[in-house]
Amino acid sequence: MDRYSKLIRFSLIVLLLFLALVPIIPVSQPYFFYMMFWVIMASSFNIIYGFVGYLPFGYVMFYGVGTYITAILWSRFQVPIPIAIMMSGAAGVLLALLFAPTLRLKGIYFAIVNFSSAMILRILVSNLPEEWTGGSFGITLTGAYNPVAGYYFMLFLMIITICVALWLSRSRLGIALRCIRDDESAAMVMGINVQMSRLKAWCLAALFPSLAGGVETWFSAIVDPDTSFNMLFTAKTVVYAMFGGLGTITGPIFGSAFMYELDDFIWGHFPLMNLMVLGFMIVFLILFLPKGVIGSIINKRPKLRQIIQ
Amino acid sequence: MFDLILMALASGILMGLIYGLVGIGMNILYGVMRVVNFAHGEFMMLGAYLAFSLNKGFGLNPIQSIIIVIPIFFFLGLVLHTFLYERIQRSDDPEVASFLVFFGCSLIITSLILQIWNADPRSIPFPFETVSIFMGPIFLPMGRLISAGICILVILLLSLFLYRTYMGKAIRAIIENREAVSILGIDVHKVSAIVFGGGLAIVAITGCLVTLSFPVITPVQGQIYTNIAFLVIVLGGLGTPLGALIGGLVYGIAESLSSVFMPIALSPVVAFVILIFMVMVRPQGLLGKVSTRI
Repeated sequence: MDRYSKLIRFSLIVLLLFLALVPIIPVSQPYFFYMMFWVIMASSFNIIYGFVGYLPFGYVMFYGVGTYITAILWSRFQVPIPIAIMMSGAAGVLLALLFAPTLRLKGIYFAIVNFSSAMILRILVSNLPEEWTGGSFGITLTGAYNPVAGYYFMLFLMIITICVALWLSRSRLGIALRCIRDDESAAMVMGINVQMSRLKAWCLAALFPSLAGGVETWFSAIVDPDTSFNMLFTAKTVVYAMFGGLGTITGPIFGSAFMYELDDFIWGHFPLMNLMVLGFMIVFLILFLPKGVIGSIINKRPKLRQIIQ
Repeated sequence: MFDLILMALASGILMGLIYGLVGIGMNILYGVMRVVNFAHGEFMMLGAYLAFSLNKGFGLNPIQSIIIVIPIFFFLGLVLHTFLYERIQRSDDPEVASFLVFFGCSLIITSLILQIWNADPRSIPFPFETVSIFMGPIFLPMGRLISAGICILVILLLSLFLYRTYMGKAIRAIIENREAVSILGIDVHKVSAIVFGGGLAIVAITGCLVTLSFPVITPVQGQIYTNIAFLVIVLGGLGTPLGALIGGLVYGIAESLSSVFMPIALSPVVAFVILIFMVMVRPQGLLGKVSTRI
């Protein structure tokens, strides 16, 4: 076992070094940027759906708010981009707190209300005065375009997200969350503060997508309501996280990396089939592989849980 | 202004009947199988596009298409039921699993419609002589009047089926208590297969009617109708099939009144706001008594 963990540690370092060198060596920078973006989305989605069992079907709204706050702060108030990104994160958490009352709903009701909230936000953003949000055309941040800085910010953010997820899975809070997911009343009887733990996880799950949204604005230098609040973002996040395995740490990372590659391939070769393949993937995953790849492996060989989480 | 409100009320009631029928299909599916059909609107658009093709290819008007579309969708429902039902029921959380599966279906159907019929808005030439009739200050579009009439007919037939036949009683019994019903020797599997087929057939009817009530159909409208269906059944109460009718009327009136007082771009917000408000405050619906599901 010890040999394996050494090997894993070594390959992790190599992988991180490679990611750190991407802007210098001649490989596609956007490709790895968006792969890291999806790792962040799937990992933080895992915090709320994998650990707590709440399906936020309007998850894209945190990303969307992140992109817009950064864009508005930079273009209307000349706030430096890194600070604007921090404000995006704060706005995401604020939004999560605003929707905290919906946490008392369960299962499908929570999913639908969350979905509707995202739709409302999208319509509101495209109908706000042009001076603020640029209407349905969005905002172009010509002067802020800095892909290399954006890239390293995203790498940093991805490492933090994974570390937080790792910490969460081992911490008291993480154990409490799993208890709540499996049996809420039992958890309450055991003295777990159900509302508070849930709220913490909800805020964490909101923080990273909004930060990632801000960084993505830096990288692409353009926001518009149709992209920022696109339903497919939620769909992809769900599929990527589920493919790897919800409730595990490596699952969403593996799922995002693999599925992003697959998605990229499909886009490149059969652009019209993209939506259909995504649909079939969702149906297939739910029906035949509900635990995901990593989840199924762990399920079959529980001993492996010591190495892969 | 008064005339405007009166007209909004009238068109709200006409549209409300169609929305009600949309909701009834979804409500029966949910009540019997605990299946959340997130592809409801997409199935509806599929029906609408079939009506479009039947019109173009064979010159059938949307009302004649209904007769052809019903068996197709009933069969489609049976096929889907065979493939999906068992596996969904076996998963940890059937409701959320079905929600995601049907979300996948909605993507597949949208992309199918895009492949076959393109993204261009389509319309069926209006099949009747009179385009609209006037009742005093109010004018009523003929297409919506006819659709509303067919809706009332379908709803009447459906209530007769649900309240007067053995199968209908079995369906209502399953909605009330699944476990007890299977002990009593009713074949839950068979009933749910029929319900799935029937539910999709109702969706297809509404799809044909939409081509009469609205000038154009586009592939992306499905999402909007799915949301309306959710709203309607939340308003009417989950599991009470005919409550959806009241939900539909309430929403239809709210929507058309809001378009009088608010900018038209914001009118979809009304649906979502009512939906969130209802789920948070009165999840058992306007008429419901006690909720045990939430």
